[in-house]
Formats: sequence, C-alpha cells, structure tokens
Amino acid sequence: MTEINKPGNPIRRADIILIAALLILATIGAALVSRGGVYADDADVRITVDGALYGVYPIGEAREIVVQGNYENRIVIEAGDADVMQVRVAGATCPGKDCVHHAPIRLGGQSIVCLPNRLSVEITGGERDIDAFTY
Amino acid sequence: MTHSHTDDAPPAAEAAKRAIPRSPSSARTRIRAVTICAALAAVAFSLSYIENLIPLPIPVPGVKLGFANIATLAALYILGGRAAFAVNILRILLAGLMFTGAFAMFYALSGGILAVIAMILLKRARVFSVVGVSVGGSAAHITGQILLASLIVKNAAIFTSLPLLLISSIIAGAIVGLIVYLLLRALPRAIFRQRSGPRTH
Amino acid sequence: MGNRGIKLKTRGIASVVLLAASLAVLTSCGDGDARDEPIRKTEFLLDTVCSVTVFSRDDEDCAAEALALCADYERRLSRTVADSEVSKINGAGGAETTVSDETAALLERALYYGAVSEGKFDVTIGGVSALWDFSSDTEDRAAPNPSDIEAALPSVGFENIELSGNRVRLKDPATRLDLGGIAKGFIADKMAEYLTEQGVESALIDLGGNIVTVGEKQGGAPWKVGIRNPLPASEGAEAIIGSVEVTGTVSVGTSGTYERFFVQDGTRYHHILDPATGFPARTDLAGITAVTEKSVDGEGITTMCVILGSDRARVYLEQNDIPAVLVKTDGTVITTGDVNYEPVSVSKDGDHDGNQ
Repeated sequence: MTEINKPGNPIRRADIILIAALLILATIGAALVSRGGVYADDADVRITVDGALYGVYPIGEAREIVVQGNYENRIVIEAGDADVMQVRVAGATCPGKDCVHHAPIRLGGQSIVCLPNRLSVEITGGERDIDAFTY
Repeated sequence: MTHSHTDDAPPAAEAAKRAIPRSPSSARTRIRAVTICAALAAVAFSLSYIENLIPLPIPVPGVKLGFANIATLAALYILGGRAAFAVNILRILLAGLMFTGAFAMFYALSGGILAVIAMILLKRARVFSVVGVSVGGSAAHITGQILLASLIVKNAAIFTSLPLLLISSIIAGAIVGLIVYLLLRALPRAIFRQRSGPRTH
Repeated sequence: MGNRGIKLKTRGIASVVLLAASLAVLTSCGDGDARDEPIRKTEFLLDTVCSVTVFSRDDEDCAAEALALCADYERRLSRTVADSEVSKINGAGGAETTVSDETAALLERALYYGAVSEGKFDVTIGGVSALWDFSSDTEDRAAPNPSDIEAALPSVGFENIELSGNRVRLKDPATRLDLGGIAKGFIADKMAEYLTEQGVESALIDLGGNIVTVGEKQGGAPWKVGIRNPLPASEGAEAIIGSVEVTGTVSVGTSGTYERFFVQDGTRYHHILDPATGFPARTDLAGITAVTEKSVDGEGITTMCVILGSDRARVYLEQNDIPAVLVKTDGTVITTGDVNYEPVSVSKDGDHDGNQ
C-alpha cells in the first residue's frame, strides 16, 4: 500500500489527453497570433507605460527612446535591411534587467516588457498593410 | 531504536492502522521529512542557479527551463503537497536573495505557487502520471506568469508570446516529468515510507 | 489493467510522437514569411537612407544595380562632388559647359518649376544654400550671418541659366546651382525606368522618403503609402497621419519643414530656403505630399508648395488637378485633387487603429 506514493507509469492515457489538449490550445493561439507575426517594415513600435500610451514610432527609422518611469529604459530601434532591423532594450536601471537580456524583437506581435517599470514595447502593424512611408 | 516487526498483528488491526491518516508526529518521520526537504531544496537551488547562468533569449521575464522543478516534483511524490510547497518556496527565496533579485523573486513566487497548486490537484486526481502532473504544473506556471505580467504592465500585448511559451513549457514539463519518474524509480523504497507505521528494514 | 497505463513500448512511442509534434509546431511558427521574401537593398546615398525593394523577381542584381545608378547620378549632380557636372557648371565662371542628356533634361524641369512658381522654386540658390548647414549632427549648427546672405542673394535667379540643347551657361559667374530640391525625384525616376526596362514587374523605390512605386503590387491591391506625421514627435503622437493609395508606376513625394532643421536661440531654421530672402521660407505648411507621375515633378511641386504656403499651394494644386495632402503647422489636413487618402483613426482609449 505504500505504492500510493510511487510514480507508476510515466505516461498514462490521461497525460496524453492533457498534453494534446494543451498543444491544441497553443496551436490555435499561435495561429491567431501569427496573423500579425510577420516581418513588416511598415510596422510601428508602440510603447506603453503603466497602460498609458507613451508613443508610437515607425520601425523603419532608427531611433533611441529613453522612457522614464519608476526606472529608466533605453529602447533602441535599429532600422535597416530586413535582416538587420530590430527593436531592443539597450539599457535599463531596473533590477534584474530582464528587458535588456531579452532577445531583440523583429516581428509584428512580439513585445518586450519591463515589469518594474510597467513598460511594454510591442511591434504592431502588418495589419495596416502599408508598403512604404513618405516623409 | 528498532521496533519489532508487527506483522503478527491481526489483519484488521493492521488495516485499521493504515486507514487512519496519521500525522507524521513521530520524531523519526519529522526528521526524515525535514532532511529530505532540505536536500531537495538544495538541489532545486543548485539547478536554479545553473539555469540562471544560461541566458534564454525568450519572451517573458522569469521564464526558465524549469529544471529546478525536478526537485519540487520529487518532493511532491516523496513527501506530499506541503513538502512540494516548501521546497519550491525555499528555492525561490534563496535564489531571490542570492542572485535573481527581489522583484524577480516576487514574480517567480506567484508562478511557483500556482504551479505547485496545479501539480497537487493533478496528482490528487489520480489519473495522471508524473509526466502529466509536471506538464500541468509548468503550463499553469507560465500561464500565471504571463497573466501577472500583463496585469503589471497593463498591456495585453505580452499574451502573443503565450502560445509558443506554452508549447515549450509542455516539452520542458514532459522532460522534467520523465526525469523525475526515472529518479523516483531509482530511489530506495525506504524513502517512500510515510504513514504506514514503523516498519523498517 | 487499464488503470496501470500503457505498455512500455507504446509509452515510448507516444512520448516521441508528442515531442516531435511539438517541435513541428514550434518550428512552423518561424518568421512567418512563407511567401517569397522580397529583395531589399539599402544604402546611404544622397545624404539619406535609400532603398530599393523588388517583389517580383529573385534577381538581387536589379536592386543593387538600381542603387548603383543612384550613386552614379549623385556623383554627376551633386554640387559637393568636385568633378560632377554641376560643379563644372558652377566653376565655369560664366563660360559654357556641355552636359549629359539627363542633366539637361533635369535642368529643363528645374527651369519649368522656376517659372511656374514665379521664382519661389529656384535651383540657382546654391550661393545661399552653401552658407547653411542642415546635414551635420554637430550641436553648434548656426544660422549664417545675415550680411553673408545678403551678399550671396544677388547671384540667385534661375533666369541666369542659359540652356540650349546640352550646353549650359550661367550668365552671372557668381551663380551657383543647387539641385537638391529636385535631384532626388529625378534620380528616382531614372531608377524606376531602369527597373521597368529590366522587366521588373513589382518594386518599390524609397529615397529618403521619396517614394516611387514600380508596376503593380503583388496580389493586385493598390500600393499603400503611409504619410509620416510631419509635425514633431511628441508623447502619444501617432507615427503616421494617414495613407494614400496609388496604382501603377507612380511617385509619392513629400516636402516638410520638420525633416531637417535646427534650433538656435529659440528660433527654428528648416531646410527649405526662400530664394527671395535666403532664409527658411515662412510658411504655414508643416508638410505636403503630392502624387505625380514623375518624381522630378513631385519634388518640384512639393518644394514649391512649401514655399508658397497653403493658400497659394492649394490654388496651384487644384488648378492642375494634382492629388496631394497638405498638413498645416496647426495640424489641419487638406486634400486636393482626387487623392485616395485615408486618415488614421485613433480610438478613445488611445489605441492605434489604422483600419477603418
């Protein structure tokens, strides 16, 4: 009777059902998300702090944005060719600096957050289907 | 300090003894529990530290491979739910104090608590095996963390990373589950003695 | 028996299958672009970022060649390049110079816009524009001495250009050509011509915001060109004010007073100079975008309109049926002609919604 705490078989029917269900959920989610998850150089970089819109910047223009909140985040938009263009957090004063360690984002839908600073940097667009910008 | 073998006692008495859930009140059981918890917490902490050294270029803060959960899961199966909680929280606290920082610690606590609750429930359901429990735990963990992150930042954008993260957490959870399964199989039976009375080898 | 679970072999296979399935799903959600990725080449030319994107072919060379063409023209037309055709004209001291067909064509257009704008658009502003520096990043960009400008002003006047066939002469030896206000468009046209000749069916040329669409967009939909907010970026401001839709090989060009400027002692100096004063044109326009067949016209028109100001610009644009979008410094947006313009809408909670 002490076998109650023994692990038994590593895979049971119920496990497979659970895993399958989760996988299906995830795949559906991925399909929904990937609608915007395309490389789009007409996309915008949308920054919100504490839920409020801080600014929207075109991804095609190189820029450095310093956001001051509880802490400071330095966001860099690196414009350029398809394989070079990206958005990343180059520096931050928050503890942990997860935002800095985060890989640079490039596709629509991707985002980087800084929890201590309540910051969210996301790449929107691809939906607007804009081919070029004139300025 | 050995007790005599009592299998001469009538089966009814034996059954009665086993049926009554005994709190692990005897010193021996407590020492055993504390020792195992401590050992597992140390293992969890070490695994956590090693994980921390591997920079994962992945979306959400606080998300790791989750290998430290090997210890938590093992605690769950060897000692029970409370031990699993203890091991996990101890690990997060230690890691928070030593290398991840206060903020990450609180954030990790939320995910960790949710994960253990999920694992306890799944284990109680009795239809899942170690792997299922582990997968359920890691799925709950990552979902909880993303939910919390979106609330903190007040922006739902981060949910877009959930699907991929969910899939990776399933895989990680399955691997952890398998490892724990093999681990538990390899452990001596004695370690699982808990409520069934003072039988020894 | 069922409670015990599945046998070892089945268990093993099941795990492997599940893992494989997960990996398959993971890798399929890659960079999203299952379709052929367009070829895009970017280079820093004409003092800005220039790019050519070819959608319809796998031929990388086309895009690179088009940019090489751009660089070639820059060498020919830049007043800062010592042996360019423009420098030769400028340095001729009133004597005649022979130029290439293209340069002659460009000068002809320049003269046309000079006349049409009644002198507001003038490519002989070189003597004055040389005194200004809008391109460097130095902190201490300064407005030139008014007396220097006054001294250079007499040399300005497009009537000084004597053009007959391929022979050019500047009547006043002090006159200097500056084709900056029109060269980009001209070069973009040449690049578009080149691509079309090469058989490219769908491409996009972007010379520092001067857009020329080549052919049709893949899928048949019209090209959608977003108009960047010409007003200075501020917290919460939108990136674009709207977009125009065009089809075929068309130019969408913009001139604005916030593209290149510097601030000195509280005064803002932008880069579009008024030939009459030698100073930045006083205008109520922050930006104007015009849709034209040829980009050289687009540049001439937009530069001219900025200097004219919104009222006179409108008159000209309406009279000539030119589709355009004007943005005044107070934020008002005016459209002319049958431009297919769609403003960006912002919903109440600050969410950015580009769709209707």
